[in-house]
Amino acid sequence: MDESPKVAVFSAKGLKKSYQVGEVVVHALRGIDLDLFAGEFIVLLGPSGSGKSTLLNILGGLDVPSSGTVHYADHDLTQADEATLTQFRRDHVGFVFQFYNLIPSLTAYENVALITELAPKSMNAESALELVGLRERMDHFPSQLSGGEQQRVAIARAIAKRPDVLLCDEPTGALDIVTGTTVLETLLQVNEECGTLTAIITHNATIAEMADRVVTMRDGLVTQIRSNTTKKKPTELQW
Amino acid sequence: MSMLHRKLLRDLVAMRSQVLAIVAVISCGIGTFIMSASTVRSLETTRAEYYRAYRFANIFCDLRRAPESVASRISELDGVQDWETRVAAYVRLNLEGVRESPQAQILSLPGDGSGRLNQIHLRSGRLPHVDSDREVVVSEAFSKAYGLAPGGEIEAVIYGKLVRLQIVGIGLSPEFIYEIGPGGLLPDSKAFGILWMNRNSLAATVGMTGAFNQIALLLSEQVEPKEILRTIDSLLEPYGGLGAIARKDQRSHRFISSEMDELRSMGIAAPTIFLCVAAFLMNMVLSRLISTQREQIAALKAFGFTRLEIATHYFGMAWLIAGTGTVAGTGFGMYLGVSLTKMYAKFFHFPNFTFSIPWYVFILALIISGLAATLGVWMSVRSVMQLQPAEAMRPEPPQVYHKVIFEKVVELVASGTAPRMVVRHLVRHPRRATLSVLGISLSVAVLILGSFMQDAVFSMFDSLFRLSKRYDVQVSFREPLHESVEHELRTIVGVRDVELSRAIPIRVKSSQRERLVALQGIDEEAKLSLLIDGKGRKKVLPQAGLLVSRKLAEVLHASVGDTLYIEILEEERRVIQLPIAALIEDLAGENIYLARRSLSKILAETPRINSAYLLVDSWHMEETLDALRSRPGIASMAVTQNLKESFLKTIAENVRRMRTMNMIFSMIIAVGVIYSTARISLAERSRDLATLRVLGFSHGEIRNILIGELTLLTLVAIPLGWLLGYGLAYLTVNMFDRELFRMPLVVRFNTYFYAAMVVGIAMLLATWVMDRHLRKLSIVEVLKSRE
Repeated sequence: MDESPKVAVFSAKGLKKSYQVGEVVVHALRGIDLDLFAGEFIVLLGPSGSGKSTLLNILGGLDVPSSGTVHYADHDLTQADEATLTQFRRDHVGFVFQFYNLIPSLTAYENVALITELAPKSMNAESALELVGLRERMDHFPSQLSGGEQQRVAIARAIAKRPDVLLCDEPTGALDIVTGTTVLETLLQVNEECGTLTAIITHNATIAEMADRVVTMRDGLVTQIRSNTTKKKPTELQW
Repeated sequence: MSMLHRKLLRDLVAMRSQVLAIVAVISCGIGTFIMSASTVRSLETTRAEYYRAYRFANIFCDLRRAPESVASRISELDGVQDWETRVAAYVRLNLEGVRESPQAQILSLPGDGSGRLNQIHLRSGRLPHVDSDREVVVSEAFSKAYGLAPGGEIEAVIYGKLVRLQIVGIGLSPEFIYEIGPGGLLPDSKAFGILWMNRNSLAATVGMTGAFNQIALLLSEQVEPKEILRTIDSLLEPYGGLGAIARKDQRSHRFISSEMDELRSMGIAAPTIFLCVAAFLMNMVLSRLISTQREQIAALKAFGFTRLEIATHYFGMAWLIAGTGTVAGTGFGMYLGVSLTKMYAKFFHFPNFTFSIPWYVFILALIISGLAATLGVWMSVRSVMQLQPAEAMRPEPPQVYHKVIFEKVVELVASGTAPRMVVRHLVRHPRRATLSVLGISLSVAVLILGSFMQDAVFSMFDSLFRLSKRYDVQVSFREPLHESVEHELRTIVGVRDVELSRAIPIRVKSSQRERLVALQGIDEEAKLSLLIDGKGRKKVLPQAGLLVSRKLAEVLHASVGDTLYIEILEEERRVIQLPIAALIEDLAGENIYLARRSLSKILAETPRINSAYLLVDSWHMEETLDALRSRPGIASMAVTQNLKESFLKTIAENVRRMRTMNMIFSMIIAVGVIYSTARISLAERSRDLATLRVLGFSHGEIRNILIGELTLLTLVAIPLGWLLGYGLAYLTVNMFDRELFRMPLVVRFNTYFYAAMVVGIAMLLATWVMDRHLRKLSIVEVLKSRE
């Protein structure tokens, strides 16, 4: 770990979030204080229902907290309106979802190009697919790709615009060990090569061993934050 | 092409069958719109141009006889730009090999060309020479009906004199775009035609030298004819003026205008129905698409696509469908327009009448179909815009199901899983179920509308020919005759019965309104020409007072008990007052009837008549017609059988064509609605159905669940459609409620049955297509996929 003063990219204070599901009120976050730093590889760990996804959604500007504040650099995401949040996501954030969320009617290349058309400083779609090792399969539709390949396309799509932040919600949740490992390697590679702040949600504690820091959550609260002195490579993880 | 556009196209291709259904419905709507808008426009411009180029007059007046000097007084009136007097006579023609002796109107030409007003457009040949006294130009329609051509000859009985005429030209005139004989309902070129000949020789033959019996005026632009009409009436009264009329009341002009009005109403009504259905289908299909693409939308939003960009994407789909429908509809509309124009060309005689689409009609079509599409998907797209990306990431919560009262009723009637699933699913989507029912019922209604026209026309035919006109031949006389002519007619071979009638031209007034019509004196005990109302009921002539067409009474703002002022427009002018004793809901014309005896008494004349109805032994028909033809006093004779044939040939054929078209239209609506409903229902429940299959239900059993749903919707829709159809028929009857023509509100039992049948067939068709999709449904795939 280097000694230079760390710059907090995200800064959350007293975050609370509750929402209505059918006839039930869910208190997803009950007061979270958390700082995320540039270039970090973070793993958010916790059982389902612990509030990980809600936190990630708020950080990514997909949702707003019920109370508390969240800042991204000098942007106040708490007060932002829909248009500002959209612009924020467009300029800074890349998402990777558990179920890939690719557009089934577009090929791998087109799914990536969809985003590169949107962001001015992006790399070209082919390079992004090259980075995830899928250049050969870029003309395939999602239905013609395996789960791991689909997730790598999703990663290519997320990184193609060179985001400052990469937020991944259970990126290996739907994958077997081997493909899961490939996907994690890709994510780590992006983090190291581009210096992208990467946050991964998982309930798989093993994955935490490859992170710089591990944030553990339970019942809408952060219960522990620890730094790994030695980071394992994805291939070294024992699932 | 941007990636989102690619997605749009591929999504549409993936839903092609449903898209096709919507495109078909839109094309019908746009097709009917383009057809009527363009045809109305073509008629309007063609007519206006014809009127302008051939100087069609603004005011017309018939009179008994006036010296030429009177005309110059009229020409000096303010606002009169040009004028022309004319000699006109109704004559009978003898054509070789034709027994019926058609009627014609001979009009005079000044001798040095085709005159200043209502000029002739020569189709072939030439105008009569200045000094010729036997040369005529024949109207095109009549010449075609009998294969007449320049160089040929015809024999005319002009005021009792037999004259041989030489045809030198074939022509048209803006006065006779719609060439219909006096008192006729439909144009019948075999029964009536127009001839033009030199004024000098015509005037000499009919005793009108130095005089005229028709005058036409062309007014300066912006001049209101009302005052001029009044002045002309008073100037011409001493000369037996029959009342001046403005262009809007000119026979031919009025018929075309009324046809254009109908076309205009149709151009609004039909597209409205189709585009409503299209909007509904669009709503159904796109809201389904949007709900399956929730997560895609969420991802797009997460990556920073704005709400507007995503909304535009889905609106774009709707617009592309609408655009495709508009283009297809334009082609279809052109086809319809061309065939309608061809049909009109049979009735309306223009020098040149072709179909063309003004560019703005196409733009308008694009706008209205785009509007319908936007309306259709508005709600769904709004929900897309409001969808929070974080919320969309979470799977949709299961829909809230409660037991409903309706369901409990159904459980009493039908137990078992299938009926319960059917009912619950419908009740869970009340808006869609309602719209589906409405859509299907609209197609039932369109079917009823189409067949009702046929019902109405055949009921009209029935009341006209079977119930009302029980005679075989109607003859009219040139001058009123003493009623003793009856005995003479009875002596003609083949004549079995004779009935007389008397018609007098009148001006009928009530408060501020007036109309030029004929007062008809008929026998109280009539057996050959009966008064029949729109419902086919016999109407009895009241003991005293007038029997008046309901429509005429309406126009005059009068009702039973009111007094009408009747100005007799014959030699002895006077005004009499008579009360309306009863009204008759008849189907054509503006009629006023009075008992013939009372009429003679009021006129203080010995009973005279000017027309007779003959019942003829069919074995002797030819001899009877020959005998009638040889009598110079007879101005015209109409054979009922010919009228029947002409009616069936013209109107009935068009109605049949309309009915076929309506059937195609409503099939498209029905299949579109039922098929889309079925597809969506299948898509929404493929997981449920696959689960049932895994649990051991057979293909047939799960198919029945879907069929059950469609059947239930259709069964509810049919009676509603009957009701709607009756409503549409009612509206149509009111739309056709014109002074010239009325339609009876008759919807036969067969029509209801037929509509239900056609929609039933459409349902079976949709079911069959759906069954094929169902067979392709892979149970394993469906269960693996995440909805």
